[in-house]
Amino acid sequence: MELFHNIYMGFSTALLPSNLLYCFFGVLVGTFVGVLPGLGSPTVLALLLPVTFYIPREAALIMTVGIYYGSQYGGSTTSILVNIPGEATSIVTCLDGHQMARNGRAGPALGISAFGSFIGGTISVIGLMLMGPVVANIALRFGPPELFALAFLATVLIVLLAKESKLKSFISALLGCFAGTIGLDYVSGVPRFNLGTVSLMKGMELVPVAIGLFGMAEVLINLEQKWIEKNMVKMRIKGLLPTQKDWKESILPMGRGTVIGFLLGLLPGAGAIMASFSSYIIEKRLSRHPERFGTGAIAGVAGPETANNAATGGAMVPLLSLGIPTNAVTSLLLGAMMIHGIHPGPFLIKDHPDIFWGVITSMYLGNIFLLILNLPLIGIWVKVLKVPQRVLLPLIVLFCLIGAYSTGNDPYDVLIMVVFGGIGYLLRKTGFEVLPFIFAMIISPMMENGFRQALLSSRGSFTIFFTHSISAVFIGLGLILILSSLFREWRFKGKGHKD
Amino acid sequence: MSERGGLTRITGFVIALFGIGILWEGRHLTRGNLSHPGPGFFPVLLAILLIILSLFLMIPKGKKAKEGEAFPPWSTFYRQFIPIYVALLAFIGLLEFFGFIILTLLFMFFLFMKVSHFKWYTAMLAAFISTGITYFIFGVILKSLFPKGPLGF
Repeated sequence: MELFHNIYMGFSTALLPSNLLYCFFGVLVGTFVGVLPGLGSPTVLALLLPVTFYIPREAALIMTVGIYYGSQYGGSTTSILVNIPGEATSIVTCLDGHQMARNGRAGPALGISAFGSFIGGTISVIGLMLMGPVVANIALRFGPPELFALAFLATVLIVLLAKESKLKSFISALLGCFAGTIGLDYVSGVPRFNLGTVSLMKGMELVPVAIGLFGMAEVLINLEQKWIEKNMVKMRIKGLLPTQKDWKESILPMGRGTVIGFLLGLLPGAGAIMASFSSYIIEKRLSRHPERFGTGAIAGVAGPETANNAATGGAMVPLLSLGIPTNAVTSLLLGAMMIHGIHPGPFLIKDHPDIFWGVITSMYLGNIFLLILNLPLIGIWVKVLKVPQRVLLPLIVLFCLIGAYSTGNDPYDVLIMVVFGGIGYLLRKTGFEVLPFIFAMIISPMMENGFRQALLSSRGSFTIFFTHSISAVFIGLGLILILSSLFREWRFKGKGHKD
Repeated sequence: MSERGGLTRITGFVIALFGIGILWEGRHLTRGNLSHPGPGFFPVLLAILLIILSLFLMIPKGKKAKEGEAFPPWSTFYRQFIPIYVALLAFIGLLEFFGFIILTLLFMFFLFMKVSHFKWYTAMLAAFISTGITYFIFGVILKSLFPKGPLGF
């Protein structure tokens, strides 16, 4: 009964006209972002964070979460029509989606992708509703050792699931942790690493750092690339509704994609990219005609597109219940919540049930908006794809400037954005991932305070991390993961295995 | 030594220097001890870990590891990045003096010429439109406090 009461409370918040409008705006922007190649959802979310200062916090969160799952919808459009993934999570959709378009079946490919996204997104919200409160209840028992252990495990997962070098990801996380220590020390109030400036006393503001690392760095990366001649499918897109045969071939991949996506979405670092790839591999393995994959198999579109949307619901569980982001976008969502004085975690559901349930139920509504929006708007997205990137880049720089300035009406924040733009560019160019940096920067205060308070209460004994069962499990799991990764590294040494 | 391997070693060296920099800058912070960790405890721990891990980057490896994306030619740096960065720094430095509208107009004109390769009149029009729309959204609707120049806007 309590669940129904909560759902009712959630809909009471989400159905307010202003919140509905922001939800609609969020999913629309998200789809737009997903459609545009080279403009990722973290970039746009970073750029829009300052806009959220001016709107009520429920609306701000509903909108930003809408951008997140909306972008997963849009990514497939570019993959199918242009063979360039709009989002990294839609890379795998290029394989069969674009082939379907080349075979004259762009309509059913776009249609099944939209329906799959709707099914994956909606079912994962049910999973989030059932799992979120349970996880939050467990987390209510967390003290400093558990909080440190949780931050430690999440960081280990983010580092080990990195696409590139794990060593570099670890260094990136350490640099992020350091950035999180700049400013006044939470315990003693002593300023740290502020270089004698007053502006740095408040610490590194997330917004200019995020805008720099994602937005400005993206501009620099795009500046050096030759303009891509888009391989647009030149035909009239018709028959968006999949046939009965299409549905028959897609329904099981969608079901499996939902489960895979939700479960992988729960893991820090894994998320939607791994979900879509895993779904594709599984569908190919299970198929009676694996040879059709890569030539336009509809299951190769339905499974991954469902999985990447289901992952968004999964990723919201640790974010809302534990305050642990699992990817770059949820890191920024966490930042957005903190800007509005909301601290996601076990107390969110207790202190702000309207926000917790309002955001979740808005995801139902957003998924419906997306389904309604996506099919009729395909024509507009096709036109959007024709806008040259060189026209967009100056506008993105302008948004970066205004976004950073709006943080505190201080040119100093713009300087931080510009500096972090350069750092983000160099990190990417030298093979360091940005995600561990921004994740660690956000999580660093929780990790440091948990660590110091645990040691204070145990009078300097590290056994406190192992005498508390939950903390012992988290740290044990983290250590096992590190050791197994090192073992695998040692075992494959000399075989050309990536470090 | 391959060019890319050399880059990783240089990166390792820079990170090691950064770690030493943290230790130097944090030398005045109380580190405390295990039972009473002070404000310098955690940053020092991070700096030591950074220095140790950077050494692994500096050790030559037999196998070729993935090292990120290739850097563009130097011409991209001095034709694109450096002018844009100089313009950005000028924007920051002159913002309070010239005010938001005039400076943004000039900056956007420069970007549309430099990045979009527009003709001067198209760039001017695009700069007017983009500055006008953003000022309307952020300055008028969202009431952001942008600095005003000598002409009062």
